[in-house]
Amino acid sequence: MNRREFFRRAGGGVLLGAPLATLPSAASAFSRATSADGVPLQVIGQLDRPAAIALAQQLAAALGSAGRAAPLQQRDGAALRQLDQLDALLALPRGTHLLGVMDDASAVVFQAVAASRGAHLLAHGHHRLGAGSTRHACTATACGEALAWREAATRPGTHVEAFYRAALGSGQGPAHASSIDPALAGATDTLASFLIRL
Amino acid sequence: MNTPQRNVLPKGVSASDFELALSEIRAIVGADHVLAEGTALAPYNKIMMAVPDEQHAPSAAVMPESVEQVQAIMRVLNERRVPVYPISTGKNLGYGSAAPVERGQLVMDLRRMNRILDVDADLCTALVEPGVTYQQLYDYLQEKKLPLWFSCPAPSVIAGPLGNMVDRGVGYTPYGEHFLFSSGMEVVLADGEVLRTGMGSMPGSNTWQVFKWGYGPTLDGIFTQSNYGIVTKMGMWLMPAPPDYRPFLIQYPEDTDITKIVEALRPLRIAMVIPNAVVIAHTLWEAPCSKVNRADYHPGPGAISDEAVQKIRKDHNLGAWNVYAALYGTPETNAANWKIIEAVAAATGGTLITESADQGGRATQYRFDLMKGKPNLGEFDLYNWRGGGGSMWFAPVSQAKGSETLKQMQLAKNILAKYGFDYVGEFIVGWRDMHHVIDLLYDRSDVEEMKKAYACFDELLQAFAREGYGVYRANTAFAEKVAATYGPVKRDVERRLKRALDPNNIIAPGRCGISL
Repeated sequence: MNRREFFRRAGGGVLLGAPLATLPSAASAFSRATSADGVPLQVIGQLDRPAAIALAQQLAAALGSAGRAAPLQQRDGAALRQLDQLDALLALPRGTHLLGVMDDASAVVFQAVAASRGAHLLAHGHHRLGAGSTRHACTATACGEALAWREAATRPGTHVEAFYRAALGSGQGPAHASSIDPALAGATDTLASFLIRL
Repeated sequence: MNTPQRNVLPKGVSASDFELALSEIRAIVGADHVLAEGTALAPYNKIMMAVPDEQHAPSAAVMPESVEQVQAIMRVLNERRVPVYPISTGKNLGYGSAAPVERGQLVMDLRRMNRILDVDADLCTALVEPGVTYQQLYDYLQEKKLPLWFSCPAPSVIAGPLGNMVDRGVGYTPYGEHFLFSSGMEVVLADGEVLRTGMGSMPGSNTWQVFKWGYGPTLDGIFTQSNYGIVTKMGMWLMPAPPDYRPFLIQYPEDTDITKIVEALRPLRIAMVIPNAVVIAHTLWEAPCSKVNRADYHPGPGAISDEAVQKIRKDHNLGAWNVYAALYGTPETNAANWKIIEAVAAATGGTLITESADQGGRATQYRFDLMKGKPNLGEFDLYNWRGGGGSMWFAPVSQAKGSETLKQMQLAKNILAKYGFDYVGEFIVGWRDMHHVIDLLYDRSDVEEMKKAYACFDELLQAFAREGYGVYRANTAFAEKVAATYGPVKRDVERRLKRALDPNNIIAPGRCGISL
């Protein structure tokens, strides 16, 4: 499935390719969102990485506004390297969605442990934060292609919300995403995110 | 029968034949243990190498729980000519992870075969299945209160001893050459036959885990870094916990100090005063593992400058080179050998730091834990250095001579810098060799940077080969190119063995460059 088809099936194909300015605000876009079959969803943010926790809070709030309750679990980096702590986070009912936002190392570990427990990988992303903008590169398994785009530093995760909502099957993907968006010349921080299904 | 539409199929296998094979495999292991849909398979396609995911996409994955199931599956695959890629825990991160070496291969995930079959506390041996992790073995020994240690690699919490040994990985205790300290394998061959190596072939023998060689040719080696069989059991030697353990760090201020470090430590290593592999880690290996943020020192593009590296050393109390090793013995023997370590540190201008004197903040604790075989995940911080999820280990071998070190470091550093990457490296001093391990870290989410990383690794490989340096292990994307550096005769022999043991070329064709 290509990305156009992915987002069409996700319900937002008509906006793909539209200028960013024409994207509906998060609130109005999510007003059409369903509860994605009532499957439980948890957001996990890395407490000792301010950018990670900010994005995790933003995603949890946006999903909540769209009618998809997404409680936020906060863990510091050390906890995200402890197998027993990871097992506790993964000890949720089968089918639960987990959306993680953390540093690259913790994300590698988390996904590796989750994979060992049989989790499915629905989507993943990398986020490179610069002084004036943030570059996002996200891949949804159903789509296959990586999408890359930039957002202003003032609200750097608006389209990440759209991406993960689409990956959850209840919204549209980010417009103006391209697989050739170049890297930021400089970055102050980097993050990783992922969406898995237990 | 309706044939589901699949994006990925094994090479040379029709969709209908593949479905038939899957159907027969489901009958063996149960439908729940055969994965053939996108999101379930995606974790097997999560790679860190600088090639597109599609290149290593699996067609399906199967999870047997016994050697009998492995045998039955192999008979199906052999008959239907479906190539299979066996993994143990699938955590060979930076070397290919759990993804097959070639697109379309069916992953045989052995993680359900995770039993610790035997631990002999008197003989200090263990027999384990492929899915056993180091953490699991550690917990077992702790629970049973057995005073036994093992050697493990850096990602040990999630990785396992069998897979690491089969890939000829190394660790940090005196038993750090993992293949050397293995004893006995059980191997399922392509036709489903089961071979037990060494004394394991002898009916009624109880010496499988204590005498590796058996009678006649020793076969164990051909099942490491190869594709001649699927290893389903492995014997390994455990180390008695020493009465006294003294890990230490010696820091050196200058890059050029590496020459005298190796010259001073080699005799101690060969004489086994220092019985474990000595790690000599460069500043930029220590920095991420000491929570240094690269962007604070180098926010722009390209490789980090030498000046910035100097500043990191100063700000975070890191050496240009940071030497980790340990003494293992009784308090008396260690006290005697400690004087030698102190003398060597003083004579070479190093600052000696012991476990009790360490003030923290550096990467010391995870290293000290690794040297006593305590699994941890400390080294994963390397992945935060650049971010973006790209990592490929480049690991050339050299003689353990000081003259080799600066030459290799400069060669690597120049090539890395040409492509905008940092030198993040360490030397691991074995008995007479050194593994020079470099983590080529890059932003895999940026297509252009990924292309540069590929070109950089390729140039490293070719440039080192021209100097006579071969790598001891490599990621699956470069398997063919690495194999080519070892010359045609070896490859021809490997193909002849492949033809003899796996004539239908179904076990991981392409792994380590071996295929028909």
